[in-house]
Amino acid sequence: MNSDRVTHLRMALLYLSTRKVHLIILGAVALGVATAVWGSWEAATPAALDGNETHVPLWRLFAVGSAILPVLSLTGPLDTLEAAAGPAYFRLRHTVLFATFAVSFACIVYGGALQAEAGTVPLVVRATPAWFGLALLSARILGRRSAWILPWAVMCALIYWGPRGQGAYHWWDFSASPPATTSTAWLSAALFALGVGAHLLTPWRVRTATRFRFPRQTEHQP
Amino acid sequence: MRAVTLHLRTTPARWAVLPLAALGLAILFGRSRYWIGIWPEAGAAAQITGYFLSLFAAGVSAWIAAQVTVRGMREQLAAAARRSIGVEAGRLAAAAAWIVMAYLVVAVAAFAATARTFPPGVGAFFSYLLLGLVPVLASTAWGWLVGRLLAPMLAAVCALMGWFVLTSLLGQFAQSLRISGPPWLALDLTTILLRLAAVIVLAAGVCVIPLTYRGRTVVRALAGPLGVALVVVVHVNTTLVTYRQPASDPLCVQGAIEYCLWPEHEKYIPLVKAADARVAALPADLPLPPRVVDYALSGSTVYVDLTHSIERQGDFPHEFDISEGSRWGLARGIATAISREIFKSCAVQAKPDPERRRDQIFAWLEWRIAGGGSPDYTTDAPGEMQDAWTVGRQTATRSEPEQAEWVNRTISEVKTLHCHEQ
Repeated sequence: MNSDRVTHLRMALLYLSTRKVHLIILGAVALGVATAVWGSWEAATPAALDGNETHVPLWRLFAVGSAILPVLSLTGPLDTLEAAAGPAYFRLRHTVLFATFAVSFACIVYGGALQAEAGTVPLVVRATPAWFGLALLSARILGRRSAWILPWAVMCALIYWGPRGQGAYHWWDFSASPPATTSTAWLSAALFALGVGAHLLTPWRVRTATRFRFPRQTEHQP
Repeated sequence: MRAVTLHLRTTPARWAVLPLAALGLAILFGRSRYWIGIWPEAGAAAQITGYFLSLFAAGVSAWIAAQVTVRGMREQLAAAARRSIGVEAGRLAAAAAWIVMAYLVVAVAAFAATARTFPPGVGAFFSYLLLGLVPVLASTAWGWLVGRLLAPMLAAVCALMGWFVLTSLLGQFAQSLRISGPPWLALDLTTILLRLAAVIVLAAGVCVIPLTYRGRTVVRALAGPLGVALVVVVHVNTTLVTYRQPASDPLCVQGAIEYCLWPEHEKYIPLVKAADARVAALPADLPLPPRVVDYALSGSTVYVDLTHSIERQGDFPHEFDISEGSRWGLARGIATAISREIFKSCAVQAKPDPERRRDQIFAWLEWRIAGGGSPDYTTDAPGEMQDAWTVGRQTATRSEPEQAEWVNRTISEVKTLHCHEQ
């Protein structure tokens, strides 16, 4: 029992060092600080409205970053080999993933609370889990090192098509529309759930599920 | 040459072309289409897609640059017979070529959309196109720099966030991003070429960064950050946009009034003719100004730079703003010109009218000339002025004789009661 625990601890430490989790935490803290200091500075960006530009406060960008960072803890040089690892290893991986997300989330929310613009915190709280979900989804579909692609594509779409003019946003712009919009909150929750679902839907789980349905197809042929 | 084709065939950037081109086309056409048919506006629209492509290019480029470290190939590359500068330059050039390819697809689409009518002023299109190339190339070089300097895991995320912040700052302090391309603004080609040259120096500097840090190579590692500094300095110290002198040969349409447009605005002639038909159909016999002109075409304003201008004294034709093909913008300009003509003889400091009948007349004219409906602009005008506009617009929906009677009565009331100095 005792030696098991030591083994687990050693594995955890090894895992943390190979995943450079300290860099992720450092990045998350940096983004929190950046949100507190520059978060309310507004960048002028083009929008699909008639000849209009809109302004995107930098915290919206930093929220994307702080949601992608934890997903990067999944990347490793031996991805394929690790796919064959045991459940203890996967439990550790999940723990690290969600723990780094918790830290990163706390940093950006605290940064949002410190910044000059009031009313940012509910928006950060709503947007960051949605970005995290999208990053997990992207990691599942496009590969773990490409976790940034889907959130970034969505961010570009939100910057460009999200504004509705006169400072209003479409309901699906989960990083900008007013915090009271219920449908936006549901969308954000759905994206989070979708991402976590995609993450849990590991290749062997898919295989197990399909084997249950189609026993003959997955039988090993000699 | 074989090395270049090899890099072009193997760089992961080739997978980015189709998605990036699709994104660019969605951005180009997934917006209001007023830019189609006006060269500078079409160029500006293409340039905006360049901005969004640059946001992605930074991540893609960092991802590719970090690939060497991910595969554990740094030592091999450093020990190769060929100098790492050449190898890096080849890889970066190949990645940039594929990313620029996506931008070119968008540019060709924008060109084709406007080339069907081929209005004057095609040169401005290419100026904007070249302007859009600056962020695309700069972000590719920036991404490469980040990919070389940071841990590969963080490279892409850091590159694209850093690029967003950098390009926003450049947009703020160097007007590097143009939201629209009205014909009265001109881009300075020398500035664009200078900025492009700075970006190429940055790209070269990025290739100099050593693969392994031994001996005195640390100095070479500074080449990249110095390149970024150069790009920033060149951007901040060059002026990109200036106001054009009023066109010497504007496009004029003679109707009830003479309308003159920038030649680039050729496609708005039907809009102007329709507005003129509505001017001619006004029920009351009103004095009309001889001429109204497009924005910045009257010569009444001398533009020092983008934010400073001097108003000249004298008698200049009134200007309208037809940007984005707004019939309300056009109607507003013509209505102001007509209402000025009506009350030309009135003193500037006339007795104030609590009912604001002049604004009522203006709103009536505007509604009639725009052809009805609800205005496409929002206003924060004072409440009593908006009330006056409502009165004018409501009157415009009544029968023609009633309107004529109301207009003549209101004008004579203003002229007798609120036209002379108090």
